[in-house]
Amino acid sequence: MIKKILIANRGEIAVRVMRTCREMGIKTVAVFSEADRKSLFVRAAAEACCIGPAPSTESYLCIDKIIAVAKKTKACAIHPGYGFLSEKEAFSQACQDNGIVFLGPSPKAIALMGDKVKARECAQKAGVPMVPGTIEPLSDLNEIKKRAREFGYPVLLKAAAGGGGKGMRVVRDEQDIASLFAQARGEAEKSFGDGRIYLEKYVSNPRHVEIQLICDQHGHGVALLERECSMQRRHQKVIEEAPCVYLRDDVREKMMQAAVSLALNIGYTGAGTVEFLVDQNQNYYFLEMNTRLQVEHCVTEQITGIDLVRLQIMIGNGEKIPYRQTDITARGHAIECRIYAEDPANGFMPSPGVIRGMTVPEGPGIRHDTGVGAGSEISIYYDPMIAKLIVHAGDRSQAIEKMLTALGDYRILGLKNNMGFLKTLLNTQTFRDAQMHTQFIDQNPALTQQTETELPLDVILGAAAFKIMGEGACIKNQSGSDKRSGWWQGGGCG
Amino acid sequence: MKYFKADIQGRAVEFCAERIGTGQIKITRDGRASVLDIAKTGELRYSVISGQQSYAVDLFNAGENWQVFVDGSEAHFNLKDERAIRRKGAGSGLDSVSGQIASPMPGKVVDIKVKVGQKVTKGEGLVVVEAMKMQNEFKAPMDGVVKEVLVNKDDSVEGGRVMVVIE
Repeated sequence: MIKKILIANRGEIAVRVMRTCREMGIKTVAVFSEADRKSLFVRAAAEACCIGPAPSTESYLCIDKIIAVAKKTKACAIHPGYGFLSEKEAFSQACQDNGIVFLGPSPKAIALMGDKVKARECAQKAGVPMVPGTIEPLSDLNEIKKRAREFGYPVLLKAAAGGGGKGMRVVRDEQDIASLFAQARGEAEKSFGDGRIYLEKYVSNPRHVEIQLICDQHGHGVALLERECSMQRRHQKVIEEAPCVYLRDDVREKMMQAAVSLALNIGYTGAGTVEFLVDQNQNYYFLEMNTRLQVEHCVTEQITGIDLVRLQIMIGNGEKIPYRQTDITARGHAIECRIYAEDPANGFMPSPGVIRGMTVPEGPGIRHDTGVGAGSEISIYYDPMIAKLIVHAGDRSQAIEKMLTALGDYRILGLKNNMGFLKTLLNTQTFRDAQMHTQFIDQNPALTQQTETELPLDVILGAAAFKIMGEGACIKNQSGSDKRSGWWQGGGCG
Repeated sequence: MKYFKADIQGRAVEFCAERIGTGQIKITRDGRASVLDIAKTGELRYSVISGQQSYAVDLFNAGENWQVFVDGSEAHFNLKDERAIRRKGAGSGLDSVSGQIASPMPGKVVDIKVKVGQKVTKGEGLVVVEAMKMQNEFKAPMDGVVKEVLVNKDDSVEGGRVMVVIE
């Protein structure tokens, strides 16, 4: 039986994992960097050890240091959270080698899914649909045209060595393919010294839908329904929800079966997510598998009523998943917003600094997962996420209203934040009609510019003057809030 | 009574404020006076009643730069009292924009778009820094001339490192 768990992570996910551990009567060990000495997760843990300086390469990414703490504190299991070492084969291996239960999949499963080519092979074997594409690079124009006609336009010319959009061209019409191919090849040669070009079907304006699954050590796996994460900016998810109201029931059913059979085929254990692109005809294509708990797992927990961390720990204990697939049903609708210390109007520039004040929304159906509070610092060393705000309501439109109300009650002072941007997104007709796709935000840059609402000027100016003129008899100079923090400068690019 | 100038939502606003009693303040703006009932309810938190309208106001300031939450909205504004106005000269808005462009986070310089001596206009891209898998373009905060470029392409930069200076 697992009696003590080391959490090899920081911030909100460490706090969240520890909460479930405490509910289960399991002791917790935090590992922290010097920059995190004052962080909430250190206080939340029963035991805590500093593992090095702020840069994660010298702390949260040091397998040896973390294993040493686990041995010293006699932690019998490690929860990796997300990011950092969670998808590092070597970490899972090191746990195994030291007789520590890794609350995640085997090194082999991590390695298979972490390699793009191997992951595609596994998916293909499991019968998971793939974006149609050529396996060999192409150079003959007639061959390219022939294959493009098979796939159907639009198609994508893609550099073998590609990355960052270089050497990529979308072709919408056969008459353009010759010149676009020359461009893509030229760019690929210049950028990567490798002019090999592949061809694949281009899925325009796809939705991002992912299946949460979990498998035990006894060959039993269930899909915990889907999440939709189509609201993305530059490939980073901003708003996630469950269920995906766009998806037809028969499509959802097939996607869940595909995801579970892929996982079982590779001997997967623990929680994982299979990500898909879904096109406008509800065709779905394998994107990748994430072999860990995801940031947005909370929306799944809200609609299924299942604590995913508890299940991970039970599986680590060798227990069987106590559900059959038919037991898994959705109740209502959940939405998650990621609250970041960043400036949407300035290219989402991170805005690190000290949180001077924080008022968190409360009420039925509101969940707030965070690792910070008033006085905490959003440091320059890690992801600038402040919190995840999750709401759960009877249906999607109620959930949207609940989220807007909750965001309206949420106040974070001292940092630039993305709450205004989130409200703008939630209010778009596209989101309300559930018509969003992964390119929506990038195609509508105006969304990042704050729309100004009419504010009660006298009230604001009066309160500010009241503060300056000494808020009553004896409160003056107590708050210490006039210290210069530099938050408004946004790094001098303001 | 105190005299203030504010720069809020793109508007220049002048007003007078006068404390009347412990929890009341009189604001006179554009010749109209209104009395507000204000109570400090917590660190940086205020309850304001104007007539019968009740507002929850959260306020933070660093010098003249203020951040406010009210009515489900957030705003940033600049507020000067008489002394600050005299010090900086009347009508000066957000005038303390720094020409030093620093990266707020550690990262890697992936592109430098300007050279020393080059004229730049406000909003023009200067340097691109990659951090957390994201490319962030730093833009000119004002019109000017590039005085110094202190980084090279592919340099790793620490948080707070000044990369470009504009005059």
